[in-house]
Amino acid sequence: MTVNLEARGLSKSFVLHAQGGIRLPVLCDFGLTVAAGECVALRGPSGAGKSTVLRLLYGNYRADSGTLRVAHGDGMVDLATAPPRLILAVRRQSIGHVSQFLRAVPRVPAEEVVAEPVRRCGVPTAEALDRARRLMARLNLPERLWRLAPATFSGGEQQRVNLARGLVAGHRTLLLDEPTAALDATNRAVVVDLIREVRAAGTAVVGIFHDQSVRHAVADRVVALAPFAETQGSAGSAPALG
Amino acid sequence: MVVIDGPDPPLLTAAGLGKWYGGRVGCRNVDVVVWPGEVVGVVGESGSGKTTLLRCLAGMLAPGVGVVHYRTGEGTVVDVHALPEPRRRRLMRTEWGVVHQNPRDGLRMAVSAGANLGERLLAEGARHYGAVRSRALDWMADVELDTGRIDDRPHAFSGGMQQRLQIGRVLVNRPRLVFMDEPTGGLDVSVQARLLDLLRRLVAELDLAVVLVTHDLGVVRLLADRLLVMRGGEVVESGLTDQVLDDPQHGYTQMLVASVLPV
Repeated sequence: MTVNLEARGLSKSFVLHAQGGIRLPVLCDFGLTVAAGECVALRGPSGAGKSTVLRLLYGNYRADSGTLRVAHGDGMVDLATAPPRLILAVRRQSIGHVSQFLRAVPRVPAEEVVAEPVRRCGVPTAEALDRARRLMARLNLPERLWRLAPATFSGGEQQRVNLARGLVAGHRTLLLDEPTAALDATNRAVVVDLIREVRAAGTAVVGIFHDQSVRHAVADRVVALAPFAETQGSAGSAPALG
Repeated sequence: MVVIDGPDPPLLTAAGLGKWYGGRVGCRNVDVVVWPGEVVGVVGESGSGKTTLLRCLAGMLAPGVGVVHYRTGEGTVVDVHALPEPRRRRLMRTEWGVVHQNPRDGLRMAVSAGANLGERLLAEGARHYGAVRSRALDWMADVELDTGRIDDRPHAFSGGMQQRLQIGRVLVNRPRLVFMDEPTGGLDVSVQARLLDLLRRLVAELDLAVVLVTHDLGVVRLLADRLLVMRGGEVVESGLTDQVLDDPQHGYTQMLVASVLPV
């Protein structure tokens, strides 16, 4: 078994200086190991820290303690202690994060937004655009939209642009935050197929899937998170149903 | 201090920089490292020392204490402020560039757009008029200016066009390190968006290293790989741009991030 992602003892709290330095603990001693080709779903009520976990795993939030090792190149890199430049290299080549909302430069056409992660890996522009267009077609984004900036797109269209951007570079580890929240049944099915395909190709996936049918269709395991106050942060692991 | 050596050496390092204006602090205790091809953003409110730091790094202002080292294209490491004036000027014209907030500070307003674009090429020794003009034309198009206006003076351009011309003028001979002071300040938002897109494209295509000073967190979110947050002349927080903006640790950074007006 090749491990693509291994988190141990991750803890996170937020200190709000503007509110008298109040400390909000959100995660304590969290551990997770994800093998190549495996998909783990994070489950829990709103506020349980699911998105926080994904952001920690991406190195977007800084862990207070713990290690976070991600497969990169021939080895593993601990994102909790890696210098910024190494984190950027790991994100470029090895780990992708699809957030809930698309954040793009104004006025840049959708196809360039999607192609950018591939171009940053050094792939020539024409080939990167070609890969972007194929993925957008797969996600049923109408061709007339490709040259337009996504700011005016509908929620579902923006989400598909965001997904295409997250999937296009073929990272070995993928973090998906509600990838189907704004999608209709047809496009949900496409996303389920895509996730199954990247898994079959050896990608490790950690995701938040509120839609139970999607979760059952893509995940092997469910990790339950409860709000910190109830559990003091212990996260249990259970096999996925169905 | 980071040594400029080894297999993956930085381009610029500054250690212990401090600058006082009489008894008032411009900046102090600042360490900066810039690697090739990365954009380092410097943010903070007015008077936080951003521009003082930029001017010290770019050799335009002698720091009171501290040292700035730069690794040249030939691989030698120089102490920027110990260089003889002519060497430093040559560095600024060839390997470095400065983009000012006000394009009038960076352009020659009395000569044509084409002459502005050609100046650094001529300074590098280009002597063939046709070749210089053809590269100037390429750069007019590259910074999205109408090539038909190459003989117009910058006076006749709008603020956004002047800023694009200034950027073209600086990048024309492919510098390795560019210092930018509020490059999108003073432009209306639609012009800003276009300029940001242009800068992003050029930074990636030319593999530029950039030190970018701005008070606009939206600008660094889109352009900068790393951030330094300054307050009262000191760096209070630094790190990956998205870490600093999404998970700010210092009270001042939290206040800055929380002060951005939603649209």
